[in-house]
Amino acid sequence: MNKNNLRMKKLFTLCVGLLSVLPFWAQSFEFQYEGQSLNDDETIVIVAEEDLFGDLSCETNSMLDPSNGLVLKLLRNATATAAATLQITHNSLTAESLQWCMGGECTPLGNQASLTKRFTVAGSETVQFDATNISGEGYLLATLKVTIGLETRQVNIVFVNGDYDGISALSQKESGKEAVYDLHGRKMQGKPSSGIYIIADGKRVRKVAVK
Amino acid sequence: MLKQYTYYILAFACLLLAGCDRIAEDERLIYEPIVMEDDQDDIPEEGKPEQTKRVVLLEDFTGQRCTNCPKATDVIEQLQEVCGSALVAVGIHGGPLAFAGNARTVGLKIDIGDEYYTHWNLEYQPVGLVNRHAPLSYSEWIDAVKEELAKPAPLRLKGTAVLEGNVIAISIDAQGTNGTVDGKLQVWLLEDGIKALQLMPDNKPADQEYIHNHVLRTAVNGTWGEDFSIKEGETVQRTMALDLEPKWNREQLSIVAFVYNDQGVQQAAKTKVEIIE
Repeated sequence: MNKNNLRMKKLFTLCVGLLSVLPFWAQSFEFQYEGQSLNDDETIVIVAEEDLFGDLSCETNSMLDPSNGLVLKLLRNATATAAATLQITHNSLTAESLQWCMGGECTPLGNQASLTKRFTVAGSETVQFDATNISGEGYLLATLKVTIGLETRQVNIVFVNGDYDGISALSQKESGKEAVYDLHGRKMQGKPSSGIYIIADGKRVRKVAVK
Repeated sequence: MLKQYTYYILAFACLLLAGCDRIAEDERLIYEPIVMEDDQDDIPEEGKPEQTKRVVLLEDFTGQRCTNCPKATDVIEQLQEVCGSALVAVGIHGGPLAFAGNARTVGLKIDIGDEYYTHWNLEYQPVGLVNRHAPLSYSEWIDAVKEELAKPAPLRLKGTAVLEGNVIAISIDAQGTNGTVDGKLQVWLLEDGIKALQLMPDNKPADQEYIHNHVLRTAVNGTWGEDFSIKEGETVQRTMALDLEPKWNREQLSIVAFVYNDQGVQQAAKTKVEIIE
């Protein structure tokens, strides 16, 4: 009887131990783009369009429907403290300004290649990153890395105006493979139906019409 | 069994009581309206000058492309409700998130807005200067305004502005009330009620009919004002004129005058532009 009790006690302690460390393994947040969950390190491609101000701009979140763009969403807790770093790795996009709004403040990037913010997330946080008043062809590559607790996830953002050769850094992980995006930057799986798409093959990005 | 329950109840009661900590008086949040007498209206001509209360200048660096800037405007509205005429707020559209306008959309950015943004080494928006001290995020404005209001003012300021035809005639009267002040006198023109596009926070869609108030339109006497000096008991009058621009709504114009130096803004005043038909 005593032996059984001891075994049960050990089993109980083991279960409690496992349950207590489980939260550290479970994913605590994710990035979503237009309502779809993104994998860690996924790339979204955004093509320049005329914005509400009448300027040619790339924006992660539409001015008329900001909640339907790039969003950081907590999966387990109601609130959490986040540290976010936006790193520009290439910028040949001739934009008048770049701004990044998270955590209640909008920060122009100016000539800085990297910015870090710390803020509290309540449920979800819109990742607003815009390149505004683009005057020429070019592209911008940025990585947004967010750390909450012990977990770090990142999303790669590509702003494009025009068709480009030589974007080797677009997604080095996809080099040699061809990635197809729709005009909203959503990655397409399988053969796309008719329409206009962006094709990135790791070396160049081009817009194609599928008939 | 009964004894066990008694222990549980006692423990629960202890927990409840522990939650009722006494909060020190200086840590309590009390919404206390600040009552200001509008004592700058009349400048006494003779005798020892009466002390006057300080009017605080809040420069809000804002932009139509700044998503979180309407949150700062909300703070200004709260402050104006409490402080009344003791607070003069100015919306300065400058920096990279301000919009200059194009054929399709009205823009409120002005060149001097950019100049001020650069001069004060501002790095994010919304950001504000309370009496021209260190840049502050909008969440810090209430405490900073409260602190400035508590300081004595070394001079009294009063402005009048009259629009006749297409010219605004401005007169600024000052009286030294405490010591000597050396610095600059700056006069600005503001406009209220401008309907223009504004990006909005909290996932709200952009507002194409957002009402922009206290928007800085121009500096009347240069970007950094003019030299100004006043001694205790002395009265000084400055007059200036400004041509009306067609894009300004004459019904919604105000003049802001303030005296500043290396110690910040010493006194401010705001007056509506009176129209003479």
